[in-house]
Amino acid sequence: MFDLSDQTVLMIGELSDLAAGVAAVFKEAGAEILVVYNSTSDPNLLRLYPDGTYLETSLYDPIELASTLANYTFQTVVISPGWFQHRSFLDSNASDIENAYRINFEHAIYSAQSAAKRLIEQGEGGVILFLSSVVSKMPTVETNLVGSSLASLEVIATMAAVDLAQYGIRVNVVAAGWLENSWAEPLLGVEGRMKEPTDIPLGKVGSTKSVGQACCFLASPMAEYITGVVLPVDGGFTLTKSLAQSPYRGTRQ
Amino acid sequence: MRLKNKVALVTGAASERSIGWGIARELASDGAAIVINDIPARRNELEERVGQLNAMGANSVMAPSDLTEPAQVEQMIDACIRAFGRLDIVCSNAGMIRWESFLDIKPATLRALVDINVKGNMLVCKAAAEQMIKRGEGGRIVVTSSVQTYFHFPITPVYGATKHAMHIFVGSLALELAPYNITVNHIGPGWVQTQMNDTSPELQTEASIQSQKEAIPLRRAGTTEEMASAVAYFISKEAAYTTGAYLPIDGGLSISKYSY
Ligand SMILES: NC(=O)c1ccc[n+]([C@@H]2O[C@H](COP(=O)([O-])OP(=O)(O)OC[C@H]3O[C@@H](n4cnc5c(N)ncnc54)[C@H](O)[C@@H]3O)[C@@H](O)[C@H]2O)c1
Repeated sequence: MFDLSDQTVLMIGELSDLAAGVAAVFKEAGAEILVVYNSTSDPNLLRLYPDGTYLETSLYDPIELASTLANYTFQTVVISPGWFQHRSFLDSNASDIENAYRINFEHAIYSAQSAAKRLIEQGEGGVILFLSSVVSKMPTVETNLVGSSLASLEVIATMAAVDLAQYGIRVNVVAAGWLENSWAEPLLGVEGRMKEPTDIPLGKVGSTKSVGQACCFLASPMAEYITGVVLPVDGGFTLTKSLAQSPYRGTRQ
Repeated sequence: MRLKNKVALVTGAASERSIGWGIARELASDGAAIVINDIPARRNELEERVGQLNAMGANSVMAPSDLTEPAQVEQMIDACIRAFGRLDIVCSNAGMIRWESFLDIKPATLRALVDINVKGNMLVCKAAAEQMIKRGEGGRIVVTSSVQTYFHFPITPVYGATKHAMHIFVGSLALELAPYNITVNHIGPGWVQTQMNDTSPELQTEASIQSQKEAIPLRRAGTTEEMASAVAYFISKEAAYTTGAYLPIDGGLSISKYSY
């Protein structure tokens, strides 16, 4: 459906199975993949990614980041925040808060900023996509840190859309619902849910591929007039109220 | 007696278990004179309610009117002025629900829900605002919407649409009436065991009541008194700077898909 063979996609941030799945869909659409990942990421995740160029860097340091990016040309940027952990509010300590905001907020901002500056230098506009989660719009059990850090990030994304519009750069957010990936395991592990999640209107959990396809659409010329949106890819999960208790009962006894 | 010398109209208040009746009692106990409304077919119940209010020492009259009829809405507002000479507070609360999923929506239900939940509220707010503007002393309007302002259920799509509409309506009304010092806000009741819910027998089984409780973080239905407290706040002098606001009173029902 998408021909992105004229594009190089920069995947920047933490390595994750979600970002790997998104990269694979871009690759299938013909794009070149350039991955710039934080040195603290788990390198085992690299095996999930498609062929491409891989660079390790420090996302703490906007100057180093800028000098890394100066050597490359790209048209689309995918920002991948990486702190996805279930933590009950009562069990969240200062370092959890610190990590969630450093990784999902500060690093993501520096990444987007550095990439935007490079796009401006290239002078041909571009697309920036933030990977997020629907827990930023709907609080769920034990997602207080993931949800609030991503909610903060979404405000930055929409304001960046305003700032960067003058350079022909569009900025959008793709918010994933429950996916068959590592973060959702505690939820999906609940007996029977994987097969028949009755509380997701489309009747199944999502895939990283479905998120990747939404990203390809937003990166494509078909979305040329779309900027500043948060697109949920959640099978309708957040549309309805469930009359059941959460199948995920949390880690706190 | 913080509402002494104030006159309040409450629509949809015939039933003794209703949110409207909870609101009427709350405002009466704070000293307001009360005009209570419901459809003309429920005149007898309204009479009883007026008797109860007067027994509390409140000044009250009834104004039976079908609020889907513009002429009857005018008559109701006239009745307020005739009885008490002014109108300060309007609780536009009458409403109706039908359980019909999208593919089962019948034209008659669609029309009936839009007529009272949208048009009824609009006609009442308009006629009331004209009175308030004429008098030039400001005023307070509180609409009863629902948690369905933001959260929807597949069995009540039309009801949800009419309640969501009130959020936008209240906001634009708040903008337009601000220069006249009239505030407009709305409350979003969650689950209250009023007659409205009796019309869906399947929601009244033991198992269903249990699962509704479990879906609510505070694990119980709300009371009409609790809905009335929110209205009392919106019309208080403390809330004079609050307009265009929405306050859900739902025990946490609309926070998330699940309770814990
Ligand atoms: N009970 C709940 O769980 C709940 C939840 C959310 C919102 N609400 C809202 O609260 C409001 C009050 O409902 P309630 O729960 O007290 O139920 P209720 O049925 O006791 O009260 C609604 C009243 O509105 C009256 N009414 C309907 N059409 C009318 C018309 N054309 N003209 C005049 N009156 C009319 C009805 O006769 C009824 O007495 C409604 O707007 C309802 O949508 C209720």
